[in-house]
Parts: sequence; structure tokens; C-alpha cells
Amino acid sequence: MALDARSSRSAPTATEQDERRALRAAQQLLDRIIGNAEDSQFEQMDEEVKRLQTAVIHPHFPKQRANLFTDLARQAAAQAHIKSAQLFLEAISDASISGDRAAKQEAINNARLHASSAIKSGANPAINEHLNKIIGIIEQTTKPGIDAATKADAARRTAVSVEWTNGRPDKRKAIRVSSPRLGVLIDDVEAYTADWSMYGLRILQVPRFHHIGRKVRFRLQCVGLDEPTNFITATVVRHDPANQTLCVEFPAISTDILRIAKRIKSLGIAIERA
Amino acid sequence: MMHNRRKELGKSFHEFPKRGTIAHDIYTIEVDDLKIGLMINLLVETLASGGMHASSMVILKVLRHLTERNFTREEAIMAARSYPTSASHTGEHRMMLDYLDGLIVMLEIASGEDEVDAATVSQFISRWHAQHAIYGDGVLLDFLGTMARDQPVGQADGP
Repeated sequence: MALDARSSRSAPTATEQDERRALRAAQQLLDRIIGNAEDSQFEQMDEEVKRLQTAVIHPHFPKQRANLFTDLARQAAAQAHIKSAQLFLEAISDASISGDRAAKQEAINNARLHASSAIKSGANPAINEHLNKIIGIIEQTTKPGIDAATKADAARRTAVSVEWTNGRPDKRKAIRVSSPRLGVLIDDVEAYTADWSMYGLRILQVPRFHHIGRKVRFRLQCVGLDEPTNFITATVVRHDPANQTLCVEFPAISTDILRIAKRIKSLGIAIERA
Repeated sequence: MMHNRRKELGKSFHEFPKRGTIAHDIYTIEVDDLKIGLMINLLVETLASGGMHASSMVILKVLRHLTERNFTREEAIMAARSYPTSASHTGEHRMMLDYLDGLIVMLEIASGEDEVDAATVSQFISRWHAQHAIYGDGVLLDFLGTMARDQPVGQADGP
């Protein structure tokens, strides 16, 4: 039994060797595609996807694995294009706030280009529609001189579920505090919290668009604290451009929040849950 | 680290050091750290078995009380031995107590155990203690060990 197993392992046939070689080459290509997707090197990535598609139809490549390799490559490419489109949404938001029309149009074109490429790579075609709606919301909510009522009306009229940018659903597991509110100094504007916990914050009135997974830096201000906290870094987990609400998550229990909680309690201020 | 320090002092590991000696100070800090560590183990086990219920909160409050008492004792030792970075070490104590107080405030407003992520609380408490024990108290103990090297064993030299 042992001898049989050893003999079958020791002598790969010429066909097996060819198959292994073809698989190794395809694996290397796939690694490069994923690497380029992470680094947003789109030209190289698209080129390598084409090469992989040619490699998997080679007679020596095991046919049962061809679909798996091409699917993985297309998924990596689609994700990279979606991420890039989301980054351009931030640029649209910035250009819209500053009133730079040319920059805004360029960013819109780039966002649409990447969304189309993502769809070509197999992403859900509905993202095009979502993209247009988000651009509409950003434009309507970032124009200078627009009052809050008009913004809210615009948000209502164009309110859509934007699954591909909204991030993961709200877990609502943490103990959230709605009062007292905390001031948040973010993107050079003064926003405030809808609710906060040891794990994260929900911030209201953040005009700039932030894509999911982005690290943001801000300072917190609270009644009873003489000065704002030092800069705190957190990750964006949800963003609702229609309501200008941003949800961020701390990497671990935030010591700044714990100190603020202690300070509030020592001042005798009532803490109310959300 | 503990073994080497005791060797430097020329004392048996099991021998109880005389009160007022540097060896006694080292012993006090080491035992206090150990007590806090044991209390944290108990808290982590309770959190793992049943989440953040009433008994976990009692242990957390006992831990708070024990920590403050130990910090006061450690600060008295630092003052008596003229520890050069006692101000920053004391500042770290105040900060650690603030974190623990804040954690108690946040956990007290939870109405049900399912609202607290016991794993992240355990992780936070374990790190909270380990970092200070290694980087804060470790340096203080080394300082006391160096001071004790030239001192005759068992000689009372302070308050």
C-alpha cells in the first residue's frame, strides 16, 4: 500500500508536468492581477487579465480550473474599479464644495469610466444607476449657499439605497449614547454626533463624501473639556450622502471616549442612551 | 526578570523580605501586579462564560479599587526612592484609572448583557494592565534592583 502510494507520487507524467507548469504560470498572473488591483494599476491589471484569459485556454491548462481563475481575476478587477469610482466620488464632493467646475466634471467622467469598467468585469450593472444618483445627491447637498431645508428636500427626492457605498449594515450592538452630544472637528468643519459609543461614532452634517474603509482623522469636543482631544483615527464604515451622515469605527475600544465618559459623569451630566 | 532581580539581591525566592528594604519594595510591586493580573484573569473568565452580567461588573469595580490602592502604594515607593521618572509614571496611573472609570460608566448604562461585546472588553483590560506592567513597572523594578545591588541584604533604608 505504502509502496504503491510512493511510486504513484514519485513519477509525474509529462502531461502532469505540463499541467503544473501551466497552473503555476496562471497562479503567478493571478497574483500580479490582485497586486495591481490593490495598487490601482489599472492598465497593467487589464493587460494581465487578457493574458490570463489566453493562458487558461491553453491545451495543457486543466479545463476544470479555467472558470475559477478567470472569475477570480474578474472579481479582483471589478473591485478595484469600484474602489476607484468611490474615490472619485470624494473628488466630486471636494470640487463641488470648492466650486471648481472643471475638476468636478473630470472627476465625474473618471468615476463613470471606472463604474463602466467594473460592470465589464462582472460587477452588478445597477452600480451605474447608483453612481448617477449619488452624484446628484452630492451636487445638491454641497453647492454653496443652499439652505438646510432645500438640501433635505433634495435628499428626500433622490433618496436611494446605495448598497455598494453604504458599507456593512448597522449592527446596533454597542451601547450608544445620544446625549450629551460630542462636537467633531472633521475636514475643517464642525460637526456633531447623532450618537457615540466606545466603538465608534455616528456623525451628522459631514458635507464631504467619504468612501467606505477610508481612515479619517478628527478631534472630539465635549462640554466640560477645556480643549478638544488629540487627533483620533477611525475607519469609515457607513456613509449616507443624502443625509450627510458618517459612521466611523475605532480599531479598538477608544480610550478618548472612555476619558470623555468619565469626565461627563464626574460633572454630573446625565448620559442618555440612543 | 523576577528571578534575576532576586539573585541580585542575594535572597532566596521564598524568603520574605524585611519591611523598609528595597527588596520589600520590589516584592510589594511584584505581588501587587500579580494580584491585578489574577483579578483580570477572573474577569476575563467571567466575561467568557456569561458575558457582561452583574458579577462581571462587581469584579470590575473590585479591580478598580485594588488598582487604585496598589498605585498609591507604588507612588509612595517612587517618592521614597527618588525615582527619576515618577511624574510620568504617576501620570500613567491617573490615565489608567480614567480609562477604567470610563469603562465602568459606559458599561453601567447597558441594560442587557447582550449589548456588550465581552471579547473586546477582555482584550482591552488585558492590554491595559500588560502594557503598564511591562513598560512602566518593569523599568521601575529594574531601577530598584540596581539600587539594591550595593545595599547590604535586609538592611532597612527607608520609611
